[in-house]
This record gives sequence, structure tokens and C-alpha cells, in this order.
Amino acid sequence: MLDKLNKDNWKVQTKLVVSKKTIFFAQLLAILFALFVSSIVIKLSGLNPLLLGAKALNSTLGSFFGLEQLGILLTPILITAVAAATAFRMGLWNIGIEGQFYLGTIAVTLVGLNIEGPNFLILIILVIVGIIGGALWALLPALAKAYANISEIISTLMLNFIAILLVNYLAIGPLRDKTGAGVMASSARISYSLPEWFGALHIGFFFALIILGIYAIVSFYTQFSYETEMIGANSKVGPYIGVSASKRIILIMLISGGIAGLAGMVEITGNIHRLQDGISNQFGIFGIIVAVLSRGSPLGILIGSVFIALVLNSGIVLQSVGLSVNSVLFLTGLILLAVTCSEVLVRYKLVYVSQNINLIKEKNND
Amino acid sequence: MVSDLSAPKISMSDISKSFPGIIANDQISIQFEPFQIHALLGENGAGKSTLMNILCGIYQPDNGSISVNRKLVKFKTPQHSIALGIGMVHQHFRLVSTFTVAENLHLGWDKTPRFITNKKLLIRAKDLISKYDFNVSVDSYIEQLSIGEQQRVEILKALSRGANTLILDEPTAVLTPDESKKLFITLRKLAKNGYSIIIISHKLKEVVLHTDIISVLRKGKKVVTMNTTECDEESLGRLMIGRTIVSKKYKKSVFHQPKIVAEVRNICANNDKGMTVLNNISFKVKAGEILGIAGVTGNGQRELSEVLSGIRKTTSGSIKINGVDLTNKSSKFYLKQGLGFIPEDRIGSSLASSKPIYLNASLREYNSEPLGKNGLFYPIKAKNFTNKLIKTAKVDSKDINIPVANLSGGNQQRLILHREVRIAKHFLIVVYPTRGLDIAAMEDIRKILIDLRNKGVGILLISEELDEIFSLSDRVAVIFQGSLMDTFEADEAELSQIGLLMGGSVKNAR
Repeated sequence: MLDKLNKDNWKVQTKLVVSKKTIFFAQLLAILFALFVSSIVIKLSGLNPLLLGAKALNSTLGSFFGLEQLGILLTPILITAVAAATAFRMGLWNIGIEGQFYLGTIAVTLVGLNIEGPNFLILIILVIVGIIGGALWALLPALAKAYANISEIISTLMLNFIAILLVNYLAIGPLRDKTGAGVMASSARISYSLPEWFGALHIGFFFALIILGIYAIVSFYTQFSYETEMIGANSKVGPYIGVSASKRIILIMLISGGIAGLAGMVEITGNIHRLQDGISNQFGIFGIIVAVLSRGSPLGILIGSVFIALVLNSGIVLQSVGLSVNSVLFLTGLILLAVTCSEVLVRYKLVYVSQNINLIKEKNND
Repeated sequence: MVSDLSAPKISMSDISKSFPGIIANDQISIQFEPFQIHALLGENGAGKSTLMNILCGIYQPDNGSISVNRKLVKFKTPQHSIALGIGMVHQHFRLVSTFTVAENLHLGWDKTPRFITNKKLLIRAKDLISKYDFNVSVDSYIEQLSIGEQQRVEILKALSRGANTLILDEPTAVLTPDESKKLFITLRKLAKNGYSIIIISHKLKEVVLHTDIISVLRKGKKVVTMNTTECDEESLGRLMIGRTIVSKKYKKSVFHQPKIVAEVRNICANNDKGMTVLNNISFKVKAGEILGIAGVTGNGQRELSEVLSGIRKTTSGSIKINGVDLTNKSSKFYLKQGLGFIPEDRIGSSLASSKPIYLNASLREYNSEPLGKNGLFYPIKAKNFTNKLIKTAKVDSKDINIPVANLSGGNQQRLILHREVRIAKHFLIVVYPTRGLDIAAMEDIRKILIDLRNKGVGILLISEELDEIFSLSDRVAVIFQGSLMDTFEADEAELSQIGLLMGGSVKNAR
């Protein structure tokens, strides 16, 4: 017995294979853990955590308005998650989803405010414009990565700040709505919008599902995705199978950026309708988190996006009952941190190594 | 050249070590003494490298103890063992590829002056190189060196750290016969001066010729330790693989098909540094013929194989595969003409090691039926395909969904070999096919190559093992500094002649 208490007799080993089931339960456990810690915090703020939790869930899932809000939050997160997952498939860390999203909205605003025509036709044009906007913002990091091996992590991240400030400048500067109709400093209303379908929930929601579906089919069943995955894991495989690794890097970054730009288009034509400061609401960041946690699995992206949308929406509800914004941010962060940690921890196991017996006893839980 | 300090007696007792799924070392006890060259003999996966990694402090044993000069020690990091004079030259080099030779020698140098200039580093490196008589240029980057040259840097690095117990993991795997001979002369000199030399090997001949004591490992256990004078190749072979080796004579049906599967005319090509490494090379390979290319590593073999498979561009000349001109086309076109390619650094350049086995097994046929069609890829069919492939290739794996990196080196090699043999309908390029493999696996691979030849596939065999070249090839060519020196019918070629040409002796020496 004493032998088991000695830390020298325990070793950490990495697991060869971790089943999807194990990962799922580990993440579930992590969420429960985070909720438990959160309830302590809520208790300390003098509120009843159980009551509050019930209220948050009820107002999100139990009402028409709640579901409508959930869908509105879910739409952009789903699309940005697919954008991020597309780049991750090749091992490219496109942290610039946020910036590409912003550029999508800028492009859509610039064109949308200066074009006239039937709603349907213009929306199709705006989809293309949004995609091009996002893709162009990813072009520079893509070229730098492909031809000079400059880390895309830094370049895409830095371009986010430029994009954010560019929107800020445009919204309070050249594009500012002088009629005073907008509440904040924002551009004039874009007169073309995605039709609404479920209350305020627009058909962009279906866009998101279709994009996820396309992503699933492409990533499972195409040679293009196969090549991308293999070259991403070892660029030397590229010349071996006759596919240029640098061209593929550029293409994947452009697709990833384009999808992020499309998310911006959907958000502005479906929900916000004006270019304004902070228009992305950090959807780009949440998309990256979902893509990482789901490891690019389409079903994982769906579940992860719903989960984050739920947490965000509950946060809004919690604020309305008096919990401070900072507490809500803390709770959101805590849940995401716990899930991320579980994702890493599940890949290790503790092994008991007895000094008396030569064989290894595996303390393996799967 | 060496200090007269003698190495300590090292004793490892009851060492056990396991990894997920395997017991690599099982209660191994072994002693190493100064003034001796001690061989650790065993097949791939016998546990030789693991045992030595434990002695170097890279792995910690699960059980057992190590004592140096009868004092119990515990090596928690490689620094501990280096401090006691134990240095290792690994089979897979531990060099920083973007640093120069001098900088790599300097890494881990415990007496580094506080202020060091590049010039001082170069001087120290040059001193070391001349002291041990190794031929490497000090200011080249490691990534520009051939594998043979990189190994010389590794050995030098261990010596420069004051190692007096020197462990070499498969040191001759990358050397030519001549270089190996030189290496053993150096090692013998060191041993005479009190160094303790440990050689991991599976080459019976060199072990019997050059060592004092031999320990045989099999499947993680030590079988025996005995004086080399008491051993002969045959009995050692039996101990090593647990059965008698049948040395096969290959029966080659003599048939020369007139069809030419590869025709190379006056090709020149540059290496990664942009220097000309291939110089006006021309040859033809007929269907059903093995053309062996002998030469010291680093004389353009890698570049030649890459040019011939569409991976590297030529600067002039033309290449026809299966009668189709493919000069400077991408490897896709070469594949279409039925070309298989087993590159020098096969694990590094033809596998994505973090990806599952079935994706790696599909690498050559993902875009042809039944695995793929019209741009689509069918994972389930790829898995079925892989299950069949690993059965024929005798790849030891229960799960084809785990990363290919989890397979042992031998299994990865077999996977690649069989993957390439399948698609080599007309022409196969193999570079160092048996490097790093044990005897049984070598025999397997040689037999596969002969079978393929007898089926009418033309094979370009690039190898540094002259025995291999002579036993397999129909014709033998010698490459030296990017030029083909001469081509012989294998029956007419003489070993000494080839040896001279490999060393660059004049073309018309015959």
C-alpha cells in the first residue's frame, strides 16, 4: 500500500490512441467542473447558483426569443469555426479569422451602400464580395508563409488589430451615418438584408449549416482534402505526390479567409445591417476555439458551436439579473479553459510501476 | 591523439524498460570494460538502442541499477552520463540542421568561454577535425551534408565532450566499406588508449572482425556474452535470430527484354545549395534488369534518385520513363508511367508520421481506383486496402488508425517498400534498400526486388553495400562526385576495380 503512495512508483505515459468517447466524456467532466467552480463564485456574489442556472437555461431554450437569440449567435460561430478548421486541416494556424471577418463586413458595406438592384441579386454579389474581402486579408500571411516560411500565427494575429482599427476608423470617419439613425457611431444601414425566417433569425443560419455540410463532405471524401492533410503533416510529401506545398498553403489560407469573410457578410446582412465598431463580437476567436476543441470534426464543430452560443447567451441573461459583466466573462473563460485542459490531459495516463514486480501494471482507464 | 585516461568499468544490472505495448529491455545485466570494443548484437527491436539510451540518461529504466567503477549511479539526464564520460553517437542524428558543423560541435561544450566568437568556434572545430582525422568542412550547415558526413560530426561531437566510453549505434550503416575500415582503425586506437567502446550492430562480419567481446540480445533479453575469439558468424547469427541463417544465392533468370524502361541522357542537376551535383549522367535500364549504382554516400546519389522520380528539376539533359519524355515534369507523371520510388530518407520524406497508417499506406493510390475516383477519396476502401497491404508487407500493427510514427522503423520501411513495389509496374528506384534493417528483413527485401525483376520491372538500385549490389545487380555503375565513372556487367566486374572507382580513381583504370 505504502508503495503506491510513493510518487517515484508512478509514471506519466502518453497514450497511443484516445477514443472519441473518452475525449467526449473528459470534456463533459471539464464542463461540470467549471460549472461547479462557477457556482461557488456566484454563491460568493450572493446569488443562488442553481436558480440562476435554471433561469439562464430556461430563458435560452425555453422561449421563442431565447432560441431565436441562440440561432443568431450560433450562425457566425459555426461559419468561423469551419473557416478555422479548414486551415487547421493543413496544420496552418489562421488566428486571423477575426480580421478576415471584419474585412468581409467592410467589403460588403462598401459595395452594399453603393449599389442598386433587386435584393436577391445583390445578396449574391455581396456573398462573393464578402468572400473576396476575407480572402484578400489572408493573402499576405499566406504568401509570407508559403514563400518565406514566416509564421502565419504572428502575421494573421497582427492583421486582426489592423482590421479592427480599420472598421473603427471607417465607422466613425468616412462611412459614418450622418442621419443619426444609428445608436452608436456606425455606417448607414445597408438596404439589402438576408430574409428573416424564425423571428429575427435570418436564413444565414442555413448558410452556416450548408457550409458545415460541405466542409464535412470535402474533408472526409475528397482527394483534395487528403492531399492537404498529408502535405500539412509533412511538406516533403508534396513533391513526392506531385503537389506543390506552397501553392496549397496559399489556396487553403485563401479558402479559410474567404469563409471567415463570408461569416462577416452573413452577420452584417442578416443581423447588424450597419458597419460598426466591434461588429464581430469576437466570433473569430470563438470559431478558433471551437475548431481546436473539435479537432476539425464536423459533428464536433456543431456541438462546440451550440455550446459556445449557449454560454454566450446565458451570459447575456445572467447580466440582466445583476451579475457583473466581468463575472460573466470570467465564467465563460473558465469553462473554455477547463475544456481545453481536459483535451490535453486525456492524452496522458498514470502508470504504476512497482519496484517488486517486473511487469508493468497499467492503470489505464480505457 | 588521445588522452591516456582510462575509462571506468560500467556495470548495468537487471535493467528493465517498457514502452506502451512492448517490453524493450527485460532484466538485462551487462558489463563494459576499458581497453575493449564491446559489440551489442541483435536484430531490430532486440532492445539494443533502448539499453544504450538508458546508459546515456536519455531513458530512465523502470527497474535495475547502473554502477560506474562499483559506485551506484542514477542518470537522470544525459548531462549526468556525459559528466562520467559516456558519449553516444545515435543512429538518428541529434544535430541542429540549421547550424554549422562548428556550431553543432560547440553545442553542449561545457568549457564554453563566456565570450565566444565565430572565429574561435571555427578554430576549435578545425582542431578537433584534424586531431581525429575526420574529413568535414567546418562551416557547412548540417542540412547541406550527406548522411555519412553528418555521422562524422556526431562522432566528433561525442569525442569533443570528453567521452571515454563511446557508444556507437549502427555506426557503419551509413559508411562505405573503406570508411568503415577507417572507423574501426580509429576505434581500435581509442580502445588501446583505455577507451571503452560499445558498438550496436547487426552486421555479423564486422562484429567478428573488429570487436573483443560480443553480447547478443534477442527480444529484449540478453542471450549471451562471450569473447569474440570464441565466436563465428554462423553461431552468432543463430543466437541473434534464434534460428540458422540460410544465405541465399539468388537465381536470376537470364532474359533481356529489348524494352527500355528508363533512359537518361546527359542530365545535370543542382543540389539544394545550387551547386552542380550531377554531371552529364547517361544510362539506360531495360525491363527485367537491375542496374546497381555503387558509390560513397554524398556523391549525388540522392539527387540522382530525386531527378529520376520527378522531385528535383534538371538543369539539362532528358529523362524518358517507359518511352515517354518526362523531363522536368512533376512526380505525378512519373507515377502514371509505373514508377515506384523508395528514397534515401524514406521515413522523413515519404510518410506523414503524425497521420494514421491507412492514410500513409494510401499515399500512392489515393487518386486511382478503388481508393479514389473523380476527385473523391473513399476512406473505407482505403482502410480495406491498407489491411491487405499490411498483411502482405508483414507490418506488425493491430490498428491502422494509429499514427504511423507508432510503428517501429522496420515496420515503417516494410510499409513503404510494399507500397512502392505495388505501383512499380515498369521501373523502381530504390536507394539504400536494406539500410538499418536486420538480416531477416534484408533477405525479404532482396527477394522482393529479385522477384520484381523477374517479372520484367527495371530496377535502379543505389546502394553503398557492395555485397548487395553484386548479389542483386545485372550491371553495376559507379558514381563519384556526380559523374558515372564506368559501367560493368556484374559478372565481369571486380570488387577491387569498383572500390578504386568509388574512391575516384581514374576512369580508364581497367
